[in-house]
Amino acid sequence: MDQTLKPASASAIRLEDVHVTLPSRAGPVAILRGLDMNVAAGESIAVVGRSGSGKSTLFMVIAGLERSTQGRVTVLGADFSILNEDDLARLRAANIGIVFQSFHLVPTMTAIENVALPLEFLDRDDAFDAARVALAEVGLSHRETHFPGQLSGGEQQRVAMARALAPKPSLILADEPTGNLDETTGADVMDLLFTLKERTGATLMLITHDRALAERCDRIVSLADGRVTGAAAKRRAAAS
Amino acid sequence: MTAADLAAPPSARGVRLPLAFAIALRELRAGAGGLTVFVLCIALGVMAVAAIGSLGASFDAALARQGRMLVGGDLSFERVHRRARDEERAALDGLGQVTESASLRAMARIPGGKSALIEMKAVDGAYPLYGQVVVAEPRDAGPIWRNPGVILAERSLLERLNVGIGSTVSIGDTTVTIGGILGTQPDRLADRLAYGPRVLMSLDTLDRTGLVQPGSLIRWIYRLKLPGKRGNDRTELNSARFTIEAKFPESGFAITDWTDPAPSIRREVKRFTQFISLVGLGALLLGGIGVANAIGSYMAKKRHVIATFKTLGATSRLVLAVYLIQALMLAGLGIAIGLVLGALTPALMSATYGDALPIALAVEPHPASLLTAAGSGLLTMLLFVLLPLGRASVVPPAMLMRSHLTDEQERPPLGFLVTAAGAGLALFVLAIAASEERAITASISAGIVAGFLLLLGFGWLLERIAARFRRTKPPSLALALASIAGPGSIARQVAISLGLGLGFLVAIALIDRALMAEFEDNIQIEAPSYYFLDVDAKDLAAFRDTAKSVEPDAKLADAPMLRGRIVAVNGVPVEKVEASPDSRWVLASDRGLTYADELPQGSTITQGSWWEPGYAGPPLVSFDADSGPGLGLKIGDTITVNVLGRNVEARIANFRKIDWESLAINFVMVFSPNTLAGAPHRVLVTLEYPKGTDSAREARLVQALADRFPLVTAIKVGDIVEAAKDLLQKVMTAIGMTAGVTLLIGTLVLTGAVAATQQRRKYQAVLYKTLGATRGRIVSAELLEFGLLGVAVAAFALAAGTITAWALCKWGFEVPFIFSGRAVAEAVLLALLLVLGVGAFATWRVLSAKAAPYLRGE
Repeated sequence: MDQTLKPASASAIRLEDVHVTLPSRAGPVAILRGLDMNVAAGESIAVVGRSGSGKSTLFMVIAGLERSTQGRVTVLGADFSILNEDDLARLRAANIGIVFQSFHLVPTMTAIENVALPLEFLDRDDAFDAARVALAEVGLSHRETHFPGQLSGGEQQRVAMARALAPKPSLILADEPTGNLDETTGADVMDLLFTLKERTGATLMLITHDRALAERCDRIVSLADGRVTGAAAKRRAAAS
Repeated sequence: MTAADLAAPPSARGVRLPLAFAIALRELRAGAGGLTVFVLCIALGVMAVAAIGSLGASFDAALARQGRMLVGGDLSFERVHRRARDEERAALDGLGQVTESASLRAMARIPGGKSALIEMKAVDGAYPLYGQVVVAEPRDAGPIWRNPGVILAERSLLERLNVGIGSTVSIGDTTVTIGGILGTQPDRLADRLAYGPRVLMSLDTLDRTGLVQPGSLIRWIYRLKLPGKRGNDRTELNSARFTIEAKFPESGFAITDWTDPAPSIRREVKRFTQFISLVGLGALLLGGIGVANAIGSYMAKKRHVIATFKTLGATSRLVLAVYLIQALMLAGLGIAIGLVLGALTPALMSATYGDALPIALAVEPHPASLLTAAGSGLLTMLLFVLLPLGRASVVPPAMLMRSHLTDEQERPPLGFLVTAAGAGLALFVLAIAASEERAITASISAGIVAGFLLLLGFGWLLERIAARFRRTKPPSLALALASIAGPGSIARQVAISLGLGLGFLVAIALIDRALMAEFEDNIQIEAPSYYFLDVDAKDLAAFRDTAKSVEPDAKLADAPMLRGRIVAVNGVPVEKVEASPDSRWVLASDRGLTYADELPQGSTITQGSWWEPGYAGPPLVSFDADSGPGLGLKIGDTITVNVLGRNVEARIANFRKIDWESLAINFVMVFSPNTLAGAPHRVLVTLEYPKGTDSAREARLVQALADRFPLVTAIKVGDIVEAAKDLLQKVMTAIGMTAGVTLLIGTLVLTGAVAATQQRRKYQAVLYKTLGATRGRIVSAELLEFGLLGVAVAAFALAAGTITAWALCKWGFEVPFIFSGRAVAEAVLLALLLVLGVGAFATWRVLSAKAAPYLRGE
């Protein structure tokens, strides 16, 4: 892998006075209002909050999928304000693994092709070999040639995780990864996610409604009305 | 980290085409889906352009390849009235092998009075120099026409006279025996249009008929075969031509060589195919709209996948490359199908209509035509595909999580708009470059684009009108109007897809109706019933008396008639005269000439004045007012005409407006009597029967004249009119077929457009059902929507087609316009049939949609 794509920074995520205002039919809507956040490298953080609190927007801003209207966003040492769309895409491919609630696997590609995709975008000659390894890590070697339509929800989510982790990202973003799964499957998926996170030492940001899941992270950040209303370290929450 | 640290590795600066190709193929695993319409639209459009181009090229190639056979030699020397003098014949014989033939019209008669007009060709022993005459019956008869007193005749003569092989018929002053049935002749295309069955005989037999008289309308043709391979050398051909022209400057020979055997036919076929090509281009553009719909719908379904790609790290360029590769692959498939079908068209025509065609088409592929069609297909694809692809390339990855907050449609970057416009311009330029009449092509192409814009505007108007009346009763109608007025309306699609083809068909039907009515009602009412050719001036009085004695109420008119060729205009040889396309025919070959003391009937002077009776000054001529300006002529200019081997120069004294449709005796050039009265010539007589004369009475008069004047040829005007009508019908059918292809493509486009709205319709239907609408109400709403659009578009197409037909009738063909109720009814019916057919299929699928997939949240 080209080392220039692997930034080195103690702070994985730094947001300074970030505002996001989006247009809608009813007029501009302020989603994030002066949000500050700092996530250390290797930390796991859960973002909780009600519907409409801005969790998804925060997620997208950090993933480089949405631009902030104001403020500074620095992820893995990269100042997003000076990166164009293609730069952001390349940053994601190399450094950020994303797991969605709805999996978002490409329906016309097999499991191994889905997993190999970000590696192919990185011009990796060993894309399929690395994808094979990633699929093995999530226990789906026997499903390499299956299409998403032929996999269960849990299997699809595990393929999505393999895809997110195959490039060995420094940052993992997961948006309600168990939202479309039953309890048992969801628990299995999360166990896997945390195991892989520990193994790689990546930073993990998890959006979730599930309190129990949030408790598994190092820190819980609460959002309300586009602002951080509470950020408690698990240890402090346990102490209180 | 700075942007420099994220600088892409060298291999990622451009697009990795192998990766884009691999992803493009993977993406096609789900099947092409709605892209079948994409492929078919391109295929049909390219097929139309390729077929027309291939037919034209095939005809040209056939003319070139069969040139020698069509001309009957390496060169042909032709003139009217006069056989070659001894010295002329000697000069020709000195150049190579010569065959002499004479072509004329005559009457074949049998005892009992039945007669038939025949197209005679009398030939010498050397004929044909190239190719073979086919004797259809008896087989292996050999060249029996060379036997004195024996003729070959086409089967239709035997049927008309009810005779058989071995029977005798009278031609002129002699009786001949029908030795066999005449099949094909190698030089048939070079012969003029036949009004009667063809007959082949020897020159010896012709001499016996007594038809060769001074001034008779006989076309003498001398075909020359140069020694060895000299005929292949352009220089040798020109040398032979110049030798005769130099030795006999006023011979009046029209000289053709095998490299351009039928120049006027070639020109007319070229004009016709160019016109039809433009209709084909319109069909291709219409197909392009189908392409745009199909690709737009396809890309809309791919938005999530594109967003996923971008989320995972794909650049916009890579995304664009993936889907552009898909579009190019599918376009390539469509173009290939279209080219194969288009290239096969000459072979298909040959196999189906081979016997009816005067020439064997060259059925191999013609690269230039196919390349033009492929280029047109590719440019059309680019024109209509780039904008949807451009929109897709800017799909934000955020839409994966934000499909509800904003629904503004992404706009393609400016580069795509510019490139698409460039493709459109290139298509325009290609169409013009491939045409010889560039100004006409440019204006018709602009007209086609204007037509599309007009239809688009009409569709928009329908949406506005529907919006105005959407709150109406009954509820089914309200639902239908809401669908027409709302987002995703198919009003514009229906207008464009059906409006063009339907408008063409209406215009063609009305023009056809007007032209046929002109033939049936006007021409035949005013036209004489018969022309009688080669009446001896000495016999004119007796001819009139005979006619009057049998039919006292018959009206007769007569005029002296010779034939001659214009050889110079204001002293400039005709080869150097620049004539407009509409006037070229005047210079193309020999024309009928006459002289008169008074202005002929059916003419009016538009400029200048008529000469006094008994005028004896320098030769004067009266010229046709319609073709004169096209030759750059004005009062006082000179025309040099070669008549009977002599060049005669005359000054234009006036221009005449001629009513050609009356078919009364009239000529492009009428000379002052002192110019031509002394030349040997015959008289043309026209006869008009009183109204209500039945065919038995007609036949009695014609027989009486034929018996008394066996050397006179009678041409029934009705036969000429029928032949012209038949030709016109064939031309209109060919044009109609092209319009039919346009309508077929339009139906495909409509199908694609409706398919693109299926998800919305299904969702709507599910909602309506959930809210309490019965199936009957939903079906009514759907069918009303399609029905209203169908009727509206039919009305528009009728109006546009009618105006087009009216304008063409008034200014193009100059015939009275007739509005046909039948054309109206057929157009409305066809539109409804197509739209409701597509609509019924769409409705059936909508009704079968299950609610759960649409109502369950993500």
